Amino acid sequence: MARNETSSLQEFQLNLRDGTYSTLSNYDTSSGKATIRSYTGFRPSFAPVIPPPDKHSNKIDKSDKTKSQELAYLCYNLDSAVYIYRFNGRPLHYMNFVDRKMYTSDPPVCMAASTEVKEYLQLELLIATKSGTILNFNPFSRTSVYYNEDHCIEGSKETRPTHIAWIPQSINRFAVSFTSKILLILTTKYKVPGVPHTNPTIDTSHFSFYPARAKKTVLKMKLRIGTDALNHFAFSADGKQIATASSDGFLRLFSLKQKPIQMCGRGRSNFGGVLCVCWSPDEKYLATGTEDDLVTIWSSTTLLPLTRCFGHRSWVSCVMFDPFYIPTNPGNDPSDNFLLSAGRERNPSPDDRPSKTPLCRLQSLARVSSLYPEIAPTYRLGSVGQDGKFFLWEFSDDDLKPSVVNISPRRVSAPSPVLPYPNGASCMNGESNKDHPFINSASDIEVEDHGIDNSDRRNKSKDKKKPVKNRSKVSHSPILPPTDLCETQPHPSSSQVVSRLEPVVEKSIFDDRLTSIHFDKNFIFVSSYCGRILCWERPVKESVIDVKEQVKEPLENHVMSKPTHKSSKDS
Amino acid sequence: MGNIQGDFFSAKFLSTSNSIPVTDTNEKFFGLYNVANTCYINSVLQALYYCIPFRDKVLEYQPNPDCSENVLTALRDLFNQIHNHKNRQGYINPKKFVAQLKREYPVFDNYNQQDAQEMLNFLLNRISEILRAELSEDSDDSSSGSHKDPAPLTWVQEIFQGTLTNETKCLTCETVKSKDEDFIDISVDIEQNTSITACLNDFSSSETLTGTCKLNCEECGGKTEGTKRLRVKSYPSTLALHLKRFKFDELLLRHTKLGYRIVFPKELRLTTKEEEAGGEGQIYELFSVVVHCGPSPNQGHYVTVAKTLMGFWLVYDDDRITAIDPNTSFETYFGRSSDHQKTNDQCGYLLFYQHKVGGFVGSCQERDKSKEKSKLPQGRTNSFDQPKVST
Repeated sequence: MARNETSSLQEFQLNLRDGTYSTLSNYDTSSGKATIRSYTGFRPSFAPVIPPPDKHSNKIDKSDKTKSQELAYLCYNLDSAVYIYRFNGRPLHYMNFVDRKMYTSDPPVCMAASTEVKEYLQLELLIATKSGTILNFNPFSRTSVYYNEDHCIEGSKETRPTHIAWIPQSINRFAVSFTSKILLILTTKYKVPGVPHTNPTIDTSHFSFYPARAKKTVLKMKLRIGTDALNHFAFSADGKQIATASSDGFLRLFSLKQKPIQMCGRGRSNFGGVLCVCWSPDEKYLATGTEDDLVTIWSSTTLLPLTRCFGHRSWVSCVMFDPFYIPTNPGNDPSDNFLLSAGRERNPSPDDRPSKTPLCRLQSLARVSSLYPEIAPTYRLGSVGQDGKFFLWEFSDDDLKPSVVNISPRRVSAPSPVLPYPNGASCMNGESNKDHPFINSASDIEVEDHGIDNSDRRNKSKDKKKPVKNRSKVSHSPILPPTDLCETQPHPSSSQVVSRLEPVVEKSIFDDRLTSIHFDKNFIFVSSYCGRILCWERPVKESVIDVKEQVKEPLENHVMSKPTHKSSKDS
Repeated sequence: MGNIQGDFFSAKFLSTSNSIPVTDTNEKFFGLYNVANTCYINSVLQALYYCIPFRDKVLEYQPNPDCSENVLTALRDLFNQIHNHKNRQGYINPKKFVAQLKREYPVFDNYNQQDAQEMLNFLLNRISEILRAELSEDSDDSSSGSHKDPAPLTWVQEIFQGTLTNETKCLTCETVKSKDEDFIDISVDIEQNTSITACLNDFSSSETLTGTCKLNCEECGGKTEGTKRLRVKSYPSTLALHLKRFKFDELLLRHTKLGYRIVFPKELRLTTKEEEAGGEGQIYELFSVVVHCGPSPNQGHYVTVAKTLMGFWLVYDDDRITAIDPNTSFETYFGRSSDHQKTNDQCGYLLFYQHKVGGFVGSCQERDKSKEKSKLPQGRTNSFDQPKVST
């Protein structure tokens, strides 16, 4: 790590609305000798470090917890090994790892560190290897528990795992996705691996459900999703909904709220496969990265595309919402104003929940927000792509409403010989194409498609229909404003319904493709395929005076650089 | 390989791993023997064979009775050999076609490695010439007038030809002049770590004409600053994209290969000039890729990656055929991301996309159709003990 690298860190500094993010370090985990062979490349995983229990009591002292919140376990796969480090913001030394485990014949492709550990010196790291072997590794006790050995549940030469993750709100369960379109839900509770039923209980064109044969086995259920590889999935915070990203171009939403599993909805990308998916912190939205170089934001209830983010020059490999970014709400009663600050506090509150800050600070911020009356965006989304670029997008609910439609008469009168299937929702464009001479093919397929949806419903016992279910019927009134606009147009276009978003930050990080982005309470991490990690630390909010100065400075930068997160007209 | 003579495969071929999955369609899978550095011919022929409209037209081609042997008749004979072969797979020696090709294009009449794109262009243009000559022969018999018709459209144009518009705009008087050009493939400049989508957008982006290359504006009567833009007016039903990987390096005074990593998705949505504002566009599906392997244009090898009717993908490496999974294997055909990965020299060079009529509804319908077609249950091995293949 030469001096060149430290001096170039300056250029990566981010001046954002909530402060200046300075680059902490640029780690090259492979020390320049990367020979990555794994297909998903280098993807680090982070887990919180639980501090040691207080000497004088058995319980964990909560006041200590915040101090060591600055610590995290950094786990990553490099070549054929898994490395685990303790990360505290200071440069990592290559050899100073907590543990390293070699897998020479079967390299690890993805990992997930459990964020729910409650005990000191415990880390449960799920590792999926290229051949499909899954193991739960605890570096402290040096034990590995193996699942899917000999591919008894799933796996073969032709398939490999694409993503593995613990299921939130469930201590033992985790899920693995494969290129063979399979999603497995497993539990660490039992020892017997279990096998799925050979014939699915639910079998539609979009998914098939295979329950486990026996009850107390590792395997809980197996799903076949879509018609091409399953690249990524994301569970909602309650662990009851799954959003899946498949190479067949569909974002699908499944609900585990009732038995059996149901598909709540699906959305189609502009073109190409969906590579990654992420829930917004309040679960109102889903964001996807796709092979059409776009980041798309969808409504999580209707699965309609709301906004497209242009900017990447290659496939988007990872999208993440920043769960620690919550802006101010000006215009309300100052006493109701919360400043929920991310970043390192000198005097943190004892528990992690956001709390009211001192009134003097609120007043200074109220003054600041009166100087800058624009409403602070409520969401921040980060995306990294195979073009080596890192983007940050900020938006509020208003930004996602589509702009006024401007139909040029030329387009209306010229029927095209081919009617491509419009993006997003499966129903809305069918009805508005009623008058088009060539729609028959599309609407026929539409009906057939809906037939399949109906069979989904037949298979379910109780069917509490959410409004979203109505999407699948051909003729009825649309739900959202975008579809209203669609009805009046004879030839709807995807970009007329969907708004565009401009990025707040666009940076070329490495000359290598980026694989993942991770938002920590104190840091932001971006990693590249060959094993490099760039880390930013969030701005520090110190005292009132500092807040005034600090908030003022980056906002000036912000205003000068003219952020445009208002949606712009497309045509 | 040197020992095996003749045109028919040996049974040993089937027992290699990654064999072609079992199908019950009448598809044939034949490799092409490499005569002497003729992989540039083999790869293009395989890619064209997988263009179903082209293959059908070639197979049904009937020349005039007094017509002599030409590349089109030789190609038809070759395609026939594959298409009507009694065996399902194997390899064929295309010596007759290669000889005919070299006769008609002396540039290739040697044992050197050549450029596959040059081969593609020559072949398509030559076939077009042959067909036009026949059409004009026929019309000469029937018509009496000597009017000059624009070159008639042959099926080569119907399949591969699109139109570009060259727009130049004078920044002073704001007049826009357009000139249409036809193309049978689009040559695209490439940039490291981008996708074909981004490269195509760059292709259609504006270029400012200033300084030494100012625009000669007739309205203003002199040299003015302007913008020039090449936009696609209409896309063909089969789109051939050529990635400009071979550049002449002025320092080294030779051609070098840009092994940039350019990702290409299995489907594309392409918008033409008029549709641009609306953003609808039409869906194209990738069916074939000609991949260049090796360090430079003169030293290297070509292979073809193609998608079969059943939906699985194969790699044709001269006479060797291997089944691949696009989700894992395409990575090797994108190119090198940076100097970190020193081993991979294989990169996609010619991309072939086929227009999909009716847009896409998601391939779920196709899955249902193909499920009915193939009666074999998943993963069953046949009598040749082929390894388990997932659909």
